[in-house]
Amino acid sequence: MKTFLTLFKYERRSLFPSLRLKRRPDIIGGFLSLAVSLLVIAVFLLLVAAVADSYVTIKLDKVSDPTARSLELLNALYTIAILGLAAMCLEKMRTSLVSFAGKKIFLRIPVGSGTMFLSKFAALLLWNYVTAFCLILPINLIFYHVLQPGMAFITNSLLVLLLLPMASFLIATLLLLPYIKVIDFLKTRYFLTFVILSAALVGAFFLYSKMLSVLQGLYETGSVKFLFSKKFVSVLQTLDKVTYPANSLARIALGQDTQNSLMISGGVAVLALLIMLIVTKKLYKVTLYKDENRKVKRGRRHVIARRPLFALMRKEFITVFREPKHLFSYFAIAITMPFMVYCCYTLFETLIINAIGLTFELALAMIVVLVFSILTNTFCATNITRDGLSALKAKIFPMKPSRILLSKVLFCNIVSSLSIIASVIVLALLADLSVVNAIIVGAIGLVFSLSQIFIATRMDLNHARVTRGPAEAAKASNRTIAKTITVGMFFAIIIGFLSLFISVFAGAELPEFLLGIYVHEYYTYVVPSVIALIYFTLSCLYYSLNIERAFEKLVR
Amino acid sequence: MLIEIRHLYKRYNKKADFAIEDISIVGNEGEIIGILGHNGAGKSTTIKCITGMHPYEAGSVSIAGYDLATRPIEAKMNFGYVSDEYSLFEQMTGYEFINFMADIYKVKRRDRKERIKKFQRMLALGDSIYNPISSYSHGMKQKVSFMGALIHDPKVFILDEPMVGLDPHTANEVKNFFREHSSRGNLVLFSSHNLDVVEKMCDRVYIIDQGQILKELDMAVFKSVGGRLEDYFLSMTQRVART
Repeated sequence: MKTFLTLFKYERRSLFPSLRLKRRPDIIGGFLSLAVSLLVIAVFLLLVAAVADSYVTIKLDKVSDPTARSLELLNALYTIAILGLAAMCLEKMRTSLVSFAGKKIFLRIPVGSGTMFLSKFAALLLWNYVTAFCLILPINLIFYHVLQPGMAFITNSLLVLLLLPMASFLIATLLLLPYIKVIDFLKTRYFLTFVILSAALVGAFFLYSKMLSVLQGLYETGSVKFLFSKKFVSVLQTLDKVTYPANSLARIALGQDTQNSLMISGGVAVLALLIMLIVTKKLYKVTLYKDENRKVKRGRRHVIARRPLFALMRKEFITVFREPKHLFSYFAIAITMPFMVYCCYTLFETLIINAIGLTFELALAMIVVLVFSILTNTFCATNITRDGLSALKAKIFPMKPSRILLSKVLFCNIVSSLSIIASVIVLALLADLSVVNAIIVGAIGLVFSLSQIFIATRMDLNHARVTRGPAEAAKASNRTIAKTITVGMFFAIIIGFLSLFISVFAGAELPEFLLGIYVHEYYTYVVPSVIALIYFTLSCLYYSLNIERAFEKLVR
Repeated sequence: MLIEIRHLYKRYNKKADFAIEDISIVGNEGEIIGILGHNGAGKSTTIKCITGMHPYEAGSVSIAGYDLATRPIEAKMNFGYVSDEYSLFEQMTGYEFINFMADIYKVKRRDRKERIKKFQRMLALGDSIYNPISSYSHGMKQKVSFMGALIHDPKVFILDEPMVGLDPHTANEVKNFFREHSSRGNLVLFSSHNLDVVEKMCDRVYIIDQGQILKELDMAVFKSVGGRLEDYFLSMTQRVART
């Protein structure tokens, strides 16, 4: 028991690293992460509140049934929560149970595999509970606030909080072994991984854009009733019949058929624990002795002699393309950028036209392209640290440090340039952006993107903490990423809003308090271009100043 | 002279004591030189300064006649380095990594093919060099590091704790290679705390402790008077510890 508790404590610490007090807290990074998280949560809760408010008042065949509608809606929300939690928990399980650090140490120390895996599972269960608490509590509070289902709902919610994480835990545990197999299969199938990740990202963004369009409808009509049809309601009714144990949990919360629902949900919890014990036994061979039995796909054997600069660029490509985390955060985002740009552009264009009856295609395209190029280029803030200890290897290369770093900048610039060019082509072909405007947006986007790469790379070089593993490297880069985004957003907002401002006054005189200058049409092109060039010049200076010395200072 | 280090000083931050102090090492063509010391004695710091991995406060490093501070590219072109922590690009295959290193050192296609074959045989790597480095064991990574460092046939071969993780057969092959490489007029410089390897392999040994060179031994002379390196090293380093 003592061993179990010691291991559990260790696991708990690695699953909740942010709870540890840091010597140098990352205030900007922390604030930005918190702000983004709160924004996403607020949008989600706003949507839940609006949907709940509208859905329960729907009349089917002129008959309103708020109790049945509440049940269907709560069931749908719990189903989404269980599946979302299961997906998150599955990946946590894989990293915690299969690719965990110190695996070899566990092979040596006198700790039984059962104790070790149970401690890991216990910590994962705790993680599941904490995450579920953060997710379900706001949903239930919003639900209570909007629908006023009575005080019993609050106490019943506690029961739901106790039982719901077990359901997601059961799904994750059941899927764990096949999931490990799939991940192993994909390990050296880089292109397939790339396709899957890109498709997943497109899917996720498609859902997100749908959510935004619901919000747009809400903004325009004041309700989301337009969303609900008889067909939609019948889908939720069918879901309510089949989605065990989410439907039981919804019934527990609303105090309907509590006894049976408690038995079903309790049964799921017991089953989750049983499955956990079975999987624990299977895991020993799958994880601890995995490396020894590993099958790998062989690489190519031909020799192509390259120039050092191209060899370094190829190295960058390989190290990014063959690492799923990097592949996702760079290539997958870069390739889906045109789709994301198109979705956002059309959505905001409709919003603006509906709101003020005018369109500012150039300014809007500019803002959207610049913001997404910032998103893509955040990856460049790991240009040095993502190599881990290997970053130091470059110091022995017989090349000028500026040339070594140039290879990283060029590689990133090729990727992001292709992404920007594809985005403006999509806007020109599928949206109503004129060719001239597309060329202007593309050119400014390319200059802006290169500036971002310069800033991100140099910031990473200045603050690089060369660490042993990629996970530590990723953590070390968080601060740089936050700063890069802040600088980029500052200039993107200036360029975007100046462009918007000039579009409003194009062909007219500015008001007296703004000096009354006549705004020529061509200002819409010239002013953003000048700002972009100023940003480019500043970033060039920042990047190149004492770059050799900064590289020499790079140590572990 | 292939390597000349004069009065090298290094500290990790301004408030800290010097990690190495007044280190001077000289290496000639055809020599195998060992740097011997306890863990934390300053061996790795010395080697990292020689290779340009770490900046240093004072002193000079010259490799094959090129000063590391003023002619770094030429100096780096003339040595190959195997680190104590194999820093490899794990997403590459061993073969890709070796070719990458060959590209960096501008090795001609024909030469690299020949050398890869030679080292593949010597290090008993077989077809496993076509697998991703991430799938390698510690010993395998060490072997690939060797190949990457030697692909340009450097005049100076620098290694930090080279025998760690190698199987006996490969360790023996590596020792033979050290002799063969030095016999062609090149220099091998390595750090170790393995007294046996240093005693058998080296022409000259620098004993280092607490960041300072305690003694430079000419092994031929030392052995001719019946000296045993283990006894000598322990007596030297214990004496320093007492004082």
